[in-house]
Amino acid sequence: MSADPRRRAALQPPPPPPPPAVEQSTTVSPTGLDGTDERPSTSNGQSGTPQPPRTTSNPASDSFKLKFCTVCASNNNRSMEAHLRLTTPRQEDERTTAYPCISFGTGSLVRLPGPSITQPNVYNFNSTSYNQMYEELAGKDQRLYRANGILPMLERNRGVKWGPERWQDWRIGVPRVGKRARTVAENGVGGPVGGHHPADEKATYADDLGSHGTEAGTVDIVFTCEERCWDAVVDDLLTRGSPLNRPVHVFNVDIKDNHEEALVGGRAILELADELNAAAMREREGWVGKGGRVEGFDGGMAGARMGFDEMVPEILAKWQERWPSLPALWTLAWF
Amino acid sequence: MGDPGSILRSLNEARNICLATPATYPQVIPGVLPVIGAQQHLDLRRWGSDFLAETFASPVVSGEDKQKLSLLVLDTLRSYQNRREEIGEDEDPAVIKSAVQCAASIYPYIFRHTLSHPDTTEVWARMASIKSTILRTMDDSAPGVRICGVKFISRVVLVQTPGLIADPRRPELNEISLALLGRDHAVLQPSQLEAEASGLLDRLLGVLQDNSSDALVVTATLNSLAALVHRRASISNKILMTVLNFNPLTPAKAGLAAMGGRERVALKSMTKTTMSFLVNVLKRNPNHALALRLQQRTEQLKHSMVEIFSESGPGKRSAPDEPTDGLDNNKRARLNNEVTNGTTAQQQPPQQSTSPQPLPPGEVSYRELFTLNPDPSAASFHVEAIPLHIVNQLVLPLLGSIDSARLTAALTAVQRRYLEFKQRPPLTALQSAMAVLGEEDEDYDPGTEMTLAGDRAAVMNGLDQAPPQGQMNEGPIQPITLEPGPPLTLQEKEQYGKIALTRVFETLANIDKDVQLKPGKKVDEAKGFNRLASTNMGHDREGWIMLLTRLATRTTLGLNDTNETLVKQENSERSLVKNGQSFTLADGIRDSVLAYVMDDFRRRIDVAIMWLNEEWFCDRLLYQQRNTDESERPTMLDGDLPNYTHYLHTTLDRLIPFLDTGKDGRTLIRFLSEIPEIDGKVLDKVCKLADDPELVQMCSQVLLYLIMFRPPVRSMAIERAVGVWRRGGDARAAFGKVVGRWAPEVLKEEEGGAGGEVKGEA
Repeated sequence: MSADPRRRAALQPPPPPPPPAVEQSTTVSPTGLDGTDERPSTSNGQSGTPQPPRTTSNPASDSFKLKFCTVCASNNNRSMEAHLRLTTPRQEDERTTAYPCISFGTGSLVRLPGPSITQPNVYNFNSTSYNQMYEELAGKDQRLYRANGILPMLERNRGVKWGPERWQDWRIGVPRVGKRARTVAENGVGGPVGGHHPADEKATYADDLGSHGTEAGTVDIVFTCEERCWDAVVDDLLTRGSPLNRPVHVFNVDIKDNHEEALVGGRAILELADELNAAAMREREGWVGKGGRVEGFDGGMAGARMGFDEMVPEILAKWQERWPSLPALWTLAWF
Repeated sequence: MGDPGSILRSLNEARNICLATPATYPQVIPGVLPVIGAQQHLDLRRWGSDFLAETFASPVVSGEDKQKLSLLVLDTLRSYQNRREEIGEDEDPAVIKSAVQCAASIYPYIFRHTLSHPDTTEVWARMASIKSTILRTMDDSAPGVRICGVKFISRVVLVQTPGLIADPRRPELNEISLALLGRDHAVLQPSQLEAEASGLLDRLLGVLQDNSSDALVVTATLNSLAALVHRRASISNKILMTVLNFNPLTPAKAGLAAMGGRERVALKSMTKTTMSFLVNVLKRNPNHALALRLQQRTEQLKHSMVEIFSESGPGKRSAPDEPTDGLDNNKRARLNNEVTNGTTAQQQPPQQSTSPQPLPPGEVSYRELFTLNPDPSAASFHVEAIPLHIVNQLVLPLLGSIDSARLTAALTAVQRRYLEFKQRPPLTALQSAMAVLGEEDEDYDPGTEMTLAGDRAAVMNGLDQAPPQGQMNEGPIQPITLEPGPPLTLQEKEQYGKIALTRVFETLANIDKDVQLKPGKKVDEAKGFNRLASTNMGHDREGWIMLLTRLATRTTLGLNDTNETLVKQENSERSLVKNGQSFTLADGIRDSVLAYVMDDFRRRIDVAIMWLNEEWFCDRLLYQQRNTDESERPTMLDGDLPNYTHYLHTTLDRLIPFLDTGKDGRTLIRFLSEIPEIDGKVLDKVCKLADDPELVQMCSQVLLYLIMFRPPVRSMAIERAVGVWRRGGDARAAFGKVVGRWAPEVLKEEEGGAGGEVKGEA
């Protein structure tokens, strides 16, 4: 039923958290079955016309979630696939999980494949929306860009967030609320195709998937999708001089830049994110369970007392055993 | 207080307002503080410490606001830190973590506040108490807290070491550092603070110095040191040296197999982080004093890591079989220059010339037939310029990469040309002759040589030397025959010969000068006359001498070699020359060579030897030509080697008067040992040396050498030695040994038969 072949491919090997929301999203009503009002997935690929309403869930009822950031070269394929994965709500243990997430690209420009390898389509970061790219490429050569998966990819992306952002231009810690901090390129093209990015109105951060929780403009975990990007991110953080004093775990998961690998990589990143989040949650809840009482402290097992940060290498190592084809790297950096 | 849930909701609303309008922080913070205090519920404390950390980290809150607000939160932070002492419970690590982050953020502001308000000792004291609690407890706390402590320390070090004063007139813009602090502050003692910072830095670096394998702490430390290296020149070298000496690969000494997955991840992470750190420093200041070491260390780490991880599979996949995102790094670099969609004209694949040019009219060479590439730049490239071993490397891959479609197209083109050529009417005999004549001329025109040939044609060059197309069209060029000049008179011949001689020997003299100026010049590998054949070599002393001796000896050789009578005539002519009545070039050269040798016979004796060898060889050749039948050839007589014998004796005559005691004996020995033939007269001349009492020794040595190492003349030499010995005088003592050794019978005979005579003479 999905028009996007990559989506279908994604469903064949179901990701570890079993019921993917994709199937439900077509029938689900805006208000969830179990009373949650999490926004259903828009990833059914039907050109995104029926845009479900986006309401922010009650923060107080949310369980603890790590905040994520995904990074690749152009903020289009790998990072966006992972972004979508992390922010797609899933039913799990009677609660819905969808992580706060933002995404970036480390390249100098957004590059998408063109008619030949020497003729890429190049766009500026921060000022071009996925919708604009979609409109332009669809106008250029609908058949070519649909066949090579660019249009379906942009279709997915514009359902996730407004447009590609550049890591180096990210002002870490500046609140991501309200209107997007950007200079919208004069876009004569494109009416309200997606319905939620009207050309005459500035997009807001709240329109992005995973925006809830990342309003403060900081994250706990960064996933890069290529060692080059990891290098760029770590180098950038070193150069910034860590004025925020806030620790951030920077992971690299090496994913080849094609649609298929991006799907696999997205699944792997989600799995890693789940484990990291579980560990962080255990740390917090373990403390709550003991109530912070003195006897609770004494009764704690050494393993149970292991903090989240401490467990990161362990978690990554275990994850790596399961995903040997995606070489991973990690460091604790500072914002 | 109500339900924590509802409070949390309203707190979140307050936070949202703050995020949307940062100007409201100064109002919100004081209102929030009582709700998040130490007495409150854990969820509220968590929210509170996170919020405080976020507030003081936020880049949208001004420094002034932060400084004011920091005074308000000190007590809250301290109550989180000291929960155990005050309430008897351990504080949640998450709360502590955020509290430490917050403390790191407010530390500079508290410092600056204290600077400008020397009377508020109490504020500084509270900060100091928070600091000491963090420092005291961090090592025993959860790792998450500990790394925040690491960051806190690095921030304290940053504040308490002198930084740059950007603009002394506007202190509010300056970076907060020890440099702002005057000597006479009531609360803050610069030396004390700096000492504390130094101690804390050592504590930070201790992690690296111990080669800790705790990846979390190591990477957190490295990443927090970057700001110090960048902004605090006074300590940057110390930090860099520590990082350079830090070896993240220490745990790998036992081999990768001994390591678990966690250790591997840790190892890779620490190494990569160290590399990133070094590269970052290098990138920021490529002219750094330690730049070379930074680079070396980075490379070293890279290699070691590859080495370690290549030995086992897990955690490492093979190199990607395709460049990621379809572009390799070179292409990326190239595309980085592009800012518009599409590409420039340069990036379009070059257009193939579709149809090769048709053949020119008239005679057509093979090269023209096969030349398909009209590009003249290919003509300036000669295939032979590529060394053979490179050609060998190139040919196979080139053959493999030939596009069969293009090859077929090229073959078709050549075929079509050939067919077209075949259909042309045959040329008339005159036309062909003209073409051929034209060709001959072209060979010697260096100007046209360069415009010839496409790259394929260059290969065919050896086969084909057709004129270029344009010249063909203009018609063939007639060969030009110069009229022979008037015959030279004898006087003219002599004159020109002498001029030629002087010029030749001038060149030789110049070469000698060069050799003296540049001693140790490499001797060419090619020896003998061949060196003259090649154009580059031969312009050295040996080459010239070879040329001269050949000129001297061979100019007349072979001119008349078929006719014996003529040879005799030549010989008779030579006898005339000897009389000095006429001048021939050959004898002129001979005389000049001799003079050249005698100018410095000690060093040029080799020239004489070479020359005489040539003479001897030449005389032998002439002799053999005169007596072609080997069986009937008469034994050689003295007169059969006319030139050799004559000039050998001349040389000796000129040489001997100059011989001196010392090393000249060696020169003479060398000369006599290397010339091809020695006759009795030569030995007689040598024996005359014995007349000079100073040269007796030399004479005996020469004879002894000849006796020992030149068997053909041994008997003659012994005879001469005995002769000299018999003459007595000074020679007797010197030759006694020689005679005693080689002619003992003479000695016995002498002693037995004529002992008295000897005595009488003595």
